[in-house]
Amino acid sequence: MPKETPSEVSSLLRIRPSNEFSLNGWMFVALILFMIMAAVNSQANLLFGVAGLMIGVMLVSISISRMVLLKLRVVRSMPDHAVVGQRLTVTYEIINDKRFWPSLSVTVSEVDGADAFTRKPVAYMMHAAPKTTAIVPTELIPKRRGLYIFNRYEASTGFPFGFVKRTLRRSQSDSILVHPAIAQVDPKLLLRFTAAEKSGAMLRPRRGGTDEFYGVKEYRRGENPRWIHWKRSARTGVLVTKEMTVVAPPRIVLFVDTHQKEMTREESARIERTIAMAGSLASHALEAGLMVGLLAWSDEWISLAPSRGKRHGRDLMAALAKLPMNRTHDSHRLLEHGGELLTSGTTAVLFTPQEVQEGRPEQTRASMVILSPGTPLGRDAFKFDPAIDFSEAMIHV
Amino acid sequence: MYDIRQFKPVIYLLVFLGISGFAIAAEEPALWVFSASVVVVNAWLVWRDKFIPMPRWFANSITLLAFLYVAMNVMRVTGAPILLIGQFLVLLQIIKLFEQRANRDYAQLIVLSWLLMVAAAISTASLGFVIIFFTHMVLLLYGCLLYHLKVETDRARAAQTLPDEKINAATLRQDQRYLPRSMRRLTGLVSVVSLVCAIVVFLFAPRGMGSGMFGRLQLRQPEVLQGFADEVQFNQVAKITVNNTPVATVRVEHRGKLVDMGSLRLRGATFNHYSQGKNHEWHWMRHASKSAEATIGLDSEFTNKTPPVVDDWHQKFRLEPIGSKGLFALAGIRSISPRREVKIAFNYSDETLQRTEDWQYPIEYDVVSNNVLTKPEGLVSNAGSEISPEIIAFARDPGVTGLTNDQTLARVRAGYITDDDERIANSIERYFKTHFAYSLDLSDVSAQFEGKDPLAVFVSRIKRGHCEYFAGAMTLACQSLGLRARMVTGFNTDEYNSYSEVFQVRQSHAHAWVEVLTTRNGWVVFDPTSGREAPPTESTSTWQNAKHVFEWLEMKWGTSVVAYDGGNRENLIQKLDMSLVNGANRGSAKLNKLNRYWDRLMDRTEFWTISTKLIAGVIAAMLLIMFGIIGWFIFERYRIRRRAGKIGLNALPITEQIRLAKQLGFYEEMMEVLGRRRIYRPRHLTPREFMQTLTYLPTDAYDTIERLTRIFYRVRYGGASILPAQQRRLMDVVSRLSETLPPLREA
Repeated sequence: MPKETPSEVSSLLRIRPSNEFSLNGWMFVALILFMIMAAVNSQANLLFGVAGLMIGVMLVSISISRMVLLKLRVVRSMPDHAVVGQRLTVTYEIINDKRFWPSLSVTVSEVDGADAFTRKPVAYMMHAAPKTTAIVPTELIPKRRGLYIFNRYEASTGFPFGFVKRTLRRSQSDSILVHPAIAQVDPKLLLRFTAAEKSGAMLRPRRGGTDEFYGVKEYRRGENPRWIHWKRSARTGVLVTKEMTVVAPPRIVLFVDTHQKEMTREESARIERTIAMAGSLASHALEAGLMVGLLAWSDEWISLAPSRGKRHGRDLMAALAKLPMNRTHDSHRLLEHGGELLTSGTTAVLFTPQEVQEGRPEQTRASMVILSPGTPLGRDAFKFDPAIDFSEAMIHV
Repeated sequence: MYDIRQFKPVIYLLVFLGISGFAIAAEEPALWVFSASVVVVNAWLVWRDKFIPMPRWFANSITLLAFLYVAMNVMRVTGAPILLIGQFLVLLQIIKLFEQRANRDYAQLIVLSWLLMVAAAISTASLGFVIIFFTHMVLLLYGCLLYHLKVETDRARAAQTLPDEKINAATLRQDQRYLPRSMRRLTGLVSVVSLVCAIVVFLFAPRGMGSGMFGRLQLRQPEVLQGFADEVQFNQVAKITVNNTPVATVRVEHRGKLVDMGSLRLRGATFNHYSQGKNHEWHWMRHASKSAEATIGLDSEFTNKTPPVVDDWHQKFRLEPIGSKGLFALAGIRSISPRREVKIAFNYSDETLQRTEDWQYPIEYDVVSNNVLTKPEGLVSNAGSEISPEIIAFARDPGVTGLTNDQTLARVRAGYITDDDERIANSIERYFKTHFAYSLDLSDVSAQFEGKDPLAVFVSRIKRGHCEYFAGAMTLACQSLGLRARMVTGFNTDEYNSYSEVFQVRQSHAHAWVEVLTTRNGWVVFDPTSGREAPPTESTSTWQNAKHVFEWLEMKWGTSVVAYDGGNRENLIQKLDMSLVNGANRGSAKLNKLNRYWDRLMDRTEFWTISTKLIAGVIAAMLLIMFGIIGWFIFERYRIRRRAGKIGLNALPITEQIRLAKQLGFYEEMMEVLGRRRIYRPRHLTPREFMQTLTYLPTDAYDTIERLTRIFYRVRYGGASILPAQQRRLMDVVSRLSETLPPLREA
């Protein structure tokens, strides 16, 4: 989502700051009344002065709290994605446009998008001198995956004495995509895919790389002259170029089953854990140089062909982050639909919340690994941060 | 997050000021010494990181015990409740200081300090206290601002658990640099608004209603000055300490001319009856024959028509509460007019004034006197004092009166006043002055007074004492011979404050003397006290001057603020009302005048002619203004372009030239200052190179030039911009630079 410029942001909403008396404020009012009674009772002039002084303090407190929020702009900066259970830093630039007066003790809190995090996003600015900018970071821990829109925020202050709390609500639209939690993946599991590929019959060299000699072909215009096989060209009288091989990396396709049989909290937690396991494996496999593809149901089939690279990794994690629970497409339909992805040399990895035995989907042409949170392999191979509560991590709808 | 370092010193200062203010109000120097020492020790411990907080249970136990003690004392009414509560508050503060752990302890310290000041403010209005009070108030506001900031910061810090390295360094630096300035600004704003509000409430809050509805809470009743009670007792008088506390001020005009030298004898009460009471104590009392009582208001005055108009001494008094009902004035009172509603009794027999009710606030009143006692119209008899044989024997001593035994007997038998009475009184007065000594300390001979008439002991044995002994003994000696005599208490002051143009009356000026009725001069004053004849000392030391200034301020404070009452408020409102009405009238009159002028104009000339003239005038004025603006604009442009040329901005686009030239005015000014010292920048040198050639200048000047050059580069090449306020500050720096540069040596 595109970011608005500060001027656009400040012009979005110009709501007058709300005015709310705190308990301290009421106590102070009571104290003023007490002082007035003391002054009237004793007729001591100094006490009349003191009562007036306290009234003045109350009045100035109301006006200063308003002044603090006056000509104050807030610009939010946040990363485009985050991961469940991992800290992220959101930075608020608080710009004080006043010429003379400072702004002090301002709390910025988010109104929208707060349910993605373990606590409400709140940043505290102690001081912004006139015509300066205070940069205030705050750390958050996402607890749910999904796309979250941050729009409205509140800037509030109780300064100078905490008698009156002023709140100003404005908006600036930002979004953040929270990826599923990433677990520590047992290296043996990855080895299972790579070892099978490298040692098995599936390992075949392919053209297009720079590793080893594969053959020659006729030179075509535009090709790098460096690859011309001069000896052979001289011998045949036709310009030919060398073709080199590339050792194709192991390929895996993640079949993520999000089928929810029962509308229970436990079931949801299992599905969330399944998705997180898929995300973890994808993340580690990509880091290890494997090509990873994805197939899942998200109101329509999401299919990503196995590939590598950061961009692909982002796309893959984004797809996992947005996966909803589904009640229509179970693992059978998933595997049926994913047949075309399972080309030779591709390992299928089925992530399913159901406890199924390995080797079941006979219909797949390739080898298949089945991972489920309920199975010993699923439990042992993925070590999640114990602080992550998957029953809370269900996607925000 | 930035740690607010100013907070703790402010808290300690607040506590210290609160305790000092209360100690001043309660007149408890011992309490001040004790608590101030404890505060200093605590501050030292905290500063040296040796402070260990007291356990909560221990602190709570002490608090509970102290509370029970205070509650019991308040129930018993053994002392003034506010005094006890104030002491309790001081103790609580000390406990809190040694218990401080969290922010709530600081909050409690702030609140306790404020309550302590309020407790003190209930009972005192002295200028010294008020100065502390306002200092405390401003500091309190500053402390509250810091406290709120600290609490919020600590809360945010605890909630966020943000590691220090993630805190933005620039923001932290900014806080370090600008936070004190911001806090000063806000404290200034809060203080000014609060003070204005306080003044408005002070001036316009209705007075008088609801007074005393919850009882009196004053710290202590005004102490009765020695000799100013309704009767004078000698039994407890063993030692009198000289006390310079101001009691009153009096501005005196004699026949319309300000009196600024000499001494004033201000009469208070008279006593003519000496006797022993039920508890065997000896005391003086007044047997008054005739008195008039009147309630005198703001706009009324009490007039005594008995004395003829001999002279005109106009006195303006401001009298502090002294614990008795007596009012003071020069002799021969003709009229009195107070500045608030009071009930005053005037006694025709001794021409003294008294309030008929207790009073606890300063009173102001004007008196016109003759400064001469009025001759009584009828016979004045003695009040039948109980005179001890020792005093009678003393009075009949020929050495004392100068009379032979026969003459003494004849005088005693006469029963009426004689022509010799003045001579006899003179003789007795002289005898006291020459044979008796003045002393305020009789503690060494107090045993001799046990069960005896103190005046008899004074006359027959110890022969030393203070003015009341002298005056009392002479009165009795005169009465024993048949003279009509009475003792008078009052003040005898010669301390003139040239700043406030008033005579200052202090407790140490309290005095007693004797008045004897004579045939020729009526009542004549005799002052038998030995050692009081020394000429008035006129000290003009700096300390004395400072004291006078402070007393003048105190008097102004007292008359304008402390004594401000409903009457003053009414006057103020009336004045405001009047000025508003007058303003409205004046405005209306001017409008009418304009209207009339316009009507006249319309009668004489054609409307369109006037309109044309008016429009032409307006257009001409507008043209003039426009030309003025254009001229000013061109001149400014020229000036800025010239400056840009001087600074070397010619190569830049015009808009950039103008922008930079406006910003870099300080550099041009600096070059002009240097130019006046014949220091010029050669064209081949850059500003930095030029600055580096100036190392021969004094360090201060060089540093300033270096700093200004650095700023020049930041603006010229770094894209920085300078705010108008910063430009003004830089101009100040440049003007100070010219002072630090060495003067030009003429060839």
